[in-house]
Amino acid sequence: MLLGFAFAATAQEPPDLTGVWLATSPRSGGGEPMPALTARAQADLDNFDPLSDPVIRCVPPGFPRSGPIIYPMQIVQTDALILFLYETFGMIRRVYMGGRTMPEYWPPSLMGFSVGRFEGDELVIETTNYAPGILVGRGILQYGDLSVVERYRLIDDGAGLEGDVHITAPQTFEATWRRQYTWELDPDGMIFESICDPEDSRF
Amino acid sequence: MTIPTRLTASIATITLYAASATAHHSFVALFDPSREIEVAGVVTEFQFIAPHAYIRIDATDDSGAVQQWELETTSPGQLIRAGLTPDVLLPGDRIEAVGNPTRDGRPLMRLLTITLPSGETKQIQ
Repeated sequence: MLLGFAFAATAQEPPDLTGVWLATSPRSGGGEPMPALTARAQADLDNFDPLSDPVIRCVPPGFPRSGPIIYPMQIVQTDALILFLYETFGMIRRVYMGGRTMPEYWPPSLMGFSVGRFEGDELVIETTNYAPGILVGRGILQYGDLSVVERYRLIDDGAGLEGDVHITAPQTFEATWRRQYTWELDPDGMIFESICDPEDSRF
Repeated sequence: MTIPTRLTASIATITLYAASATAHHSFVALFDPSREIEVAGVVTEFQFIAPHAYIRIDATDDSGAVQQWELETTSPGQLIRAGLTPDVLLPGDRIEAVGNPTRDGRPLMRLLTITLPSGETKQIQ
């Protein structure tokens, strides 16, 4: 009995982040300003042709370029897996829980490979194995060395969600970019399909 | 149908004024987020598609010339949340739009607010 009480007093149930979350951050995001660019990233930015952006061809922008920014997302939480279902471009991100690690070979991708854990009341996600691509839409590139650490926590008695997103890309930025986002829970919210057809491009 | 006088503004009365210089990354190729313009006209089509829906209008200037404008909006999902859906905005409706102009001057804007025939103004993005 005494042992059981001790266990209950020390074990903390992880928060349930399940739900549809509407972004309340400014479009440009919060947190610190973007760090200084490396010479390589600056040169690529100077030569960037906006019409070369794959999103114009309906290629999803990936994470963290897009996802937390302005559009809604749905979080589906299980013990083994947490899904982030982004409305924008219908993007899906899988966060593996329970100590699962990346297989020996895993193809680099727009979303990278994400593993998560709870630290107290925070969901901590670490993502690596990104394919090189556009990190910021106006032409700031990353070169495959990108890693992202996110920390999510419920606020306002569960009516809100707060996230710190730390972006490290040594070939792009001179320092880690520390961003912050907030969302509000939409209890009856739904995520709409968003399938893009390149034929409808206006560029 | 009574048309509020303020909806008779035409493209000849386009006004330019400074807007906040927030970053609009995905629009950098086309739109100038530092400026806003007003355009009024009659809806000819509401293309409710991803990733951005389009509203097409015929705008008449002071000389009577008609120019076709495209209003690029946000995603259909966000429009549903804003209450701007194809069953609300119909061809033939007179609307007034405020948005960011294109950098090259083509008759296309990134829609920020739209005023419906009822007089209700909806914030789109």
